[in-house]
Amino acid sequence: MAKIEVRGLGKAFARNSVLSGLELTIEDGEFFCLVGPSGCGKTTLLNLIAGLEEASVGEIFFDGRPVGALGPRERDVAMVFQNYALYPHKTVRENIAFPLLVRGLPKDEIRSRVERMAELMGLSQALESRPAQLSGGQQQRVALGRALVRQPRVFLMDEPLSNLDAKLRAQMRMELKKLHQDFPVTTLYVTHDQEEAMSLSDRMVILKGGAPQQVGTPMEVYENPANLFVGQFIGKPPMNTLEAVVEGSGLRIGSQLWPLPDSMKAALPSRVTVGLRPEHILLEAYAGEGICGRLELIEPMGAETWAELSLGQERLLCRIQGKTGLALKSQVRLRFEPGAFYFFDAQGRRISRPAS
Amino acid sequence: MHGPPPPVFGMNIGRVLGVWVAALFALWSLAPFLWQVQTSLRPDEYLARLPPLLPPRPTLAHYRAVLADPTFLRLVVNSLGVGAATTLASLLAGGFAAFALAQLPARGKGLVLGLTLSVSMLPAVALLAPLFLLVRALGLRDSWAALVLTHTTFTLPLTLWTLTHFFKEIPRELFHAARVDGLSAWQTFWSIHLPLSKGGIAACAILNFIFSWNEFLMALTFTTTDASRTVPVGVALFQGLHETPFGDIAAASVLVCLPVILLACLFQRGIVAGLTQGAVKG
Amino acid sequence: MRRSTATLWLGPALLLIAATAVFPIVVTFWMSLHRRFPIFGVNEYVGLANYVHLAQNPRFLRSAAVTLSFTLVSVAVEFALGLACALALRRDFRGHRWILAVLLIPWIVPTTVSARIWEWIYNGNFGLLNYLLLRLGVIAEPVVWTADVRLVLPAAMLAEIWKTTPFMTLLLLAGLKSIPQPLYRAAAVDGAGAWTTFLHVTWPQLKPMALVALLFRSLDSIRVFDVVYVLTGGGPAGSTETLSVFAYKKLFQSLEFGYGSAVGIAVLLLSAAVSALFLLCMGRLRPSSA
Repeated sequence: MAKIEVRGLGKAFARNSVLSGLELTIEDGEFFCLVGPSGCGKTTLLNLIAGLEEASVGEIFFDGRPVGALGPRERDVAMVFQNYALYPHKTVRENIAFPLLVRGLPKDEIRSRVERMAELMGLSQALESRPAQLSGGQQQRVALGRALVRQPRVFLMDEPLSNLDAKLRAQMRMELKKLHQDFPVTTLYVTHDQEEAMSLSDRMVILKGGAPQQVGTPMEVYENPANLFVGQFIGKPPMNTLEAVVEGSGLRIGSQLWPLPDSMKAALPSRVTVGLRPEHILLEAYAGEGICGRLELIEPMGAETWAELSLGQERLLCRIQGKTGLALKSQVRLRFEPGAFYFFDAQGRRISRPAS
Repeated sequence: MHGPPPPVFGMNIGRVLGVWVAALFALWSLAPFLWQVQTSLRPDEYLARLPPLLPPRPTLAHYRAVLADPTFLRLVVNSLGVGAATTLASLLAGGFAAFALAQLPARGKGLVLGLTLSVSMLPAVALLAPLFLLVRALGLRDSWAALVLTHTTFTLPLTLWTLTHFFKEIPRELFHAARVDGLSAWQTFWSIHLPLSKGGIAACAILNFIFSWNEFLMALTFTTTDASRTVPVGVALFQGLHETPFGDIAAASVLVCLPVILLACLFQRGIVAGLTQGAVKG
Repeated sequence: MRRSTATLWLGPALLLIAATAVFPIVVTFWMSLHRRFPIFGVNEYVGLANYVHLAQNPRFLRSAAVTLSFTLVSVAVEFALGLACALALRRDFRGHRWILAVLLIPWIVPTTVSARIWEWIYNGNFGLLNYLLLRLGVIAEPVVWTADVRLVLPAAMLAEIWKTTPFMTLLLLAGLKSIPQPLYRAAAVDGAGAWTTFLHVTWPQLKPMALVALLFRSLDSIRVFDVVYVLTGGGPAGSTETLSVFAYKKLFQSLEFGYGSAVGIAVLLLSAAVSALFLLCMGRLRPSSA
């Protein structure tokens, strides 16, 4: 097991910079997610840590030792891939045994370790099958088994669940989490799905255009996004944004003036972007007072309801517990949870909330 | 979805016609060869006589004569040896290169593939004189090595193209998985890429062998005695038809066709795939 | 993969190609600028004199004409036959596999063997061709096919066509099979007949593959050597002497390495010109089909 440090890491393909100046520390035994939209450089970062690609600049350390010159074999990493990358010409048994075989372990030990792993993964019946005969979920388990059987220093996963259907994905997510509790190996997990990152990670980094936007625990990045991108990327449905002008007694949003305490106003520039999480908005029937919107759309989700409001030109999505009880196309009044307002400047940077 | 057009109402005539046309082509392809077969079975006294169309008393005498001739057997051994070595050499060199090409960025790859493709289109006669001098300078005249070397030059491009295509089909992730599992690039080549490209390798091997088995111009130029002379040269150098036993030539030519015809029947699918691969993908 | 490692993997192939193709081409060109008779120890630089002489040499001009007409006629006939055969074979039927295997036979038989086969069929006294034509009453008396200057070139062409039509067929068949089937359903729904379908669906879709097949076969045919050399030796009276046969005789029979090399380069230039022509056609095809 290892602590991983990434220092000043950069990677360019044919003069196209994919990553630059990346600094990251992943603690020993941590489940760490690399999350971001496609093309953000997360898979490249994973490949660099695996030793499958060479960094253009910078260095990676495992437990304080530089590994830049080492191949994947010497780094002792294991990896699970998006398409599982099982050897199609080998049986399940041979697939799981392969990394042990390559390392020249004695036959008996390989056999017992493979069988133990197969039992753990629920694959005992499928040991002699070939990958093509297995379901997606089973193939995924074989890939996990092949990676785990070696007890590597670092465990790397590249979107391992993205090819599974929704139900299986949720189930495998839980199994992964349990596995990590049983084998607390340092794990780097690449995903584009913020929900997966939230549910799995001890900590995560949100990447955009090859640059880290924020590092933190799931709750930290949710409650305290460093910028508009993180605010909108984390959370489902995503954070609402409203363009506002700061005026005498509050915020001018569309044609309405939203009241704001002076202590909050003091820290704001004249124009701001307001971020509002859907779950922080409360709706009630409009009685001629407060901030008013029109209920345009209602999407019942069962336990909760999503409602879309219009405020002049602006659109706002709200997430309400249970049913709304409000009529479609009616006027509603908006209320907010305490601390619901996030402010961002013209560059999308978070304007930190004054202590109150 | 690809394939022949769906049967359209009223197209049955076309279908029946198709079968007949195909059968006619098959007959046309087979007939000259069959004629040679019957010639090889004609007793000497019927060789210079037509009619009868078919020999009244077919004989295996010509085959016995050819098979008892040490020269003929020597030619066959030479051809088999050169063919096998050429196949192996171009699979190895082509396989290694294809392995690198399948992973290289597009730019360098285009250059190498373009170069090899243009090599395969070179007229051999434009290379012949320097190759002759080279072979002589290396002391390889009248040796298998000279033929293996020059035949490989011409089989390499197709091998390289086909194997590059096959290797590219192998997902990159699989290569990465093998690296992470602890394999060196060298081991990955042998234990992942080769086993997963069996079909392409078989097709290349057969086509390479057929090329070498049939090649004439270089074999003619670089060989002087039976020590390395191959079958096509032997067949061509049989003396003119007035002095020579044409029955023996016919028997010999049928015999030397057997290995390749056997290959064609056994691996017809692979040959067709290998032949058309380059053209379709290139 | 690192660049240095890639070079290592590419090494054997590149080395071989450099040593046995690229380097020889350069040397051939260099030698073509010389008057060179190795046996007499003659080797002097003469610039383009060999080429100038070639341009005035009737034997060279005739062999160029022979090569071109040989290529034009055989490739055209092969294409027509190959297309017919490929269209006949595009639908699977019982025995399809076996027909394909049989079609392969002419192509995989050594060319020298097929030349011998045809030599025997063309035989003036007891050849099959004369026998059949006499029986059918097409000719009144036996013809010596390989000795008649008017008949020998077509005879060589026929042997070549027999040998290489399978290659054409297979390439065109692959092209036909890669045409998306929904196009045919659409054409059928639109009420297109067989001919209209061929003209508006099959042919435009097949064209790129047809060009590739024609290119491959043309280049092969331009450098034709085996079939002519064995069947006729270039004769009678040079009537079937192709450029490759001419070059070979200059190089290894009269041992004029400089002059023979110039002929070799001429074949190369002819191939290059034909390739360029085809690539131009293909390039024009691409934007319209995209």
